[in-house]
Amino acid sequence: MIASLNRTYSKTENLVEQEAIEIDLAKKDPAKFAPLYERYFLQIFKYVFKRVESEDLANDICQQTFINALTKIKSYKHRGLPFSSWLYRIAQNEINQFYRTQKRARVVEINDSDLPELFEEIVVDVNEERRMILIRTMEQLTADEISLIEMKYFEKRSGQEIAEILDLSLANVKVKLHRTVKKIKQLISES
Amino acid sequence: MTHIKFERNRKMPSDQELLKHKNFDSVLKGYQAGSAPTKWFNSAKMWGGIVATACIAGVGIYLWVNSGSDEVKSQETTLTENTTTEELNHDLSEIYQSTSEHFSIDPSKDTILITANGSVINIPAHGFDTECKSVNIKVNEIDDPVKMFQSKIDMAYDSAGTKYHFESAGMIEIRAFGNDEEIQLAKGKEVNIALVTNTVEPSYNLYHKTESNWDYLGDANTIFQPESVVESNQLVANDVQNDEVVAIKKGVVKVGKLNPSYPTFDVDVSRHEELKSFQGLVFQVDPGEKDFQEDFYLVSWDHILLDKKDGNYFINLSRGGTKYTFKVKPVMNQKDYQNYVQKNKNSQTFYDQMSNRKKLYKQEFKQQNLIFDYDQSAQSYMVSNAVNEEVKYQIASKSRRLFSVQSLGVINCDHVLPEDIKKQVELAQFQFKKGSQPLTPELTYVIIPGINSLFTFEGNGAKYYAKNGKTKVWVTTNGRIGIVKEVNSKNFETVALYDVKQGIAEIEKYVEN
Repeated sequence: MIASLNRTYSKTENLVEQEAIEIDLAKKDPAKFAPLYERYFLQIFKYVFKRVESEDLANDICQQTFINALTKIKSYKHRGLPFSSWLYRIAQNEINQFYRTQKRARVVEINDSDLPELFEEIVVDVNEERRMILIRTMEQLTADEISLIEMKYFEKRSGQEIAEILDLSLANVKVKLHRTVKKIKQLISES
Repeated sequence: MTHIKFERNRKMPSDQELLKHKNFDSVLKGYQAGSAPTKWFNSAKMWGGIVATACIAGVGIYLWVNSGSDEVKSQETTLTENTTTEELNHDLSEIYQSTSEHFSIDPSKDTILITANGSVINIPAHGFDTECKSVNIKVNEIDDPVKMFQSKIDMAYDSAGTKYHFESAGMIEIRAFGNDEEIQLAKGKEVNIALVTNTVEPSYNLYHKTESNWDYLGDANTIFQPESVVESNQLVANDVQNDEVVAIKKGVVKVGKLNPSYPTFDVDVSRHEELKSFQGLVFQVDPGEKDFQEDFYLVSWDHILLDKKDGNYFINLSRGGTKYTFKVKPVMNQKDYQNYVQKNKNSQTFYDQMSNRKKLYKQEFKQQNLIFDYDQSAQSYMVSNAVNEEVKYQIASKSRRLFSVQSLGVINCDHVLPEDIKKQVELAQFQFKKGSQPLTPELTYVIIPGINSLFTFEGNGAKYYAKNGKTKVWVTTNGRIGIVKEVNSKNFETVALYDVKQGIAEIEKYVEN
């Protein structure tokens, strides 16, 4: 599961080198960004889709993400992290921007199959009543806290990747996740 | 609290369906045009408006004060010499539309709504004059001049024939709809509101917007309550303005001056909320720790962790199987320490002021007591959002204003400005060269720095400018936003005209500063 979601982490060295060449080419000629777009379109689209209300909106934000990526690619520096993490970060910024200005209800996609791991973390049994309590509890989290839970438990992203997307240190991600889970526990015990 | 819509077990479209959105040419065109739809203009319709505006592109406009005697620098703008007054006044009303939050409620039940801004609205059961089973509530919070500009709310106030101008602490527009028709509160019903405002000044009254003026609702129902009233461990995380000040005040952190004859440990304090905001904080081992050897400072430890127990800090040093724990003190070098002491002093003064106010407001609160139950609800909301267990008090630049209304619409917490306030500004007219026909905006909006208000002038050729030479004045016209920096009655040092998109972004920066 993790491997399929974070496939860039398992790339062979040759592929990473190939991608570095593509990035360099795109820095010189925006049209050369096409192979990168082809490779990452679907995963960025899905990332956005899970966080917004409709496919059309996801399309707008996804397109904007790649336009911004093209605009900023000259300043991109490979820091040993997947290129996709950089794209995710741009997408996340676009999503945040959208909610900040449009003031619409933030969309959080929850699949029942994603919940057991979170339940395990907060040490409660999974049942429908508990699911509902958990969902209600999440309404009381901040946008940042929800992002962390989404990425860690629903999308099974690694701490390092979350750190890159949210522009935080790994230690900070761990601390924040720990606090968020603690907060959920507390809220559940109060409900 | 985040306004969330949960999509449970939503089906993700197939890859094939999603791939139909793939269009690199469009991305490339967007990049080349530099025409990315931005935060303000996400819909295609709005974007169309921007493009239409941008069509009036060109360079070279000379801006003259209407007096005609003082030439100013020419700037590249989006206007051309062929621009007409009509184009200047191009209707971009779609772009000006403000964004609102929408809630759907069951009117037969008591409901508490929390807005993205943290304001709380308490709607009583059967509060509306309707048979509808579902009522849609639209909420728009207007707390800065940009939002006033977008909402087109006139801040002029006519009191028995005398014209005044409002400055706002915060404004909220609440409207209710049943079956798509606007509905009002039922007779005798009240909605209680805790409006988050960006000032702690108490001198604001309550007004309700009518078609052409404002109705004074009085100050009796307006209870100013700074966040410092909120006691114990129950604080809203995103309202905490200054962790450091809070930490100092509550004695959570006692910082000492660094002893220069001893080395220091620079430790990751990210696990300790109360320490995170201190500048230049390092740690020195307590002289009472007899087992500590100075050589320990030189060891390359695998892990150096900071712990806190009973108000004291301890450092855990480990390398391989060797572990030590020593009591340490947070310290600062001379310069940082002096800053810290000064800040402490300032915060003490502020804290004392707030404590005195707190007593006053508590008294007022008891006298008013009409919204006591409501405030309990707000408190319970805060409990659920408490994150920092060590913070006992908050010293904030924000406040909540608690009041009740019997009629929905636009409710403004504001006070009137001095009568001569409008004389402080003059409207710059737009001319291409001396003696040419000036472009006359139909409406001109002016924001005066430091005043949370929006001044509206009808285009009549009058001129307005800041009397204070160092003041910045921002002139926004209907369809164009002119930004005039460093203005005095003689010279414009910098003048720029922006299209709406860029202009609003500039105004945002200005308001933030």
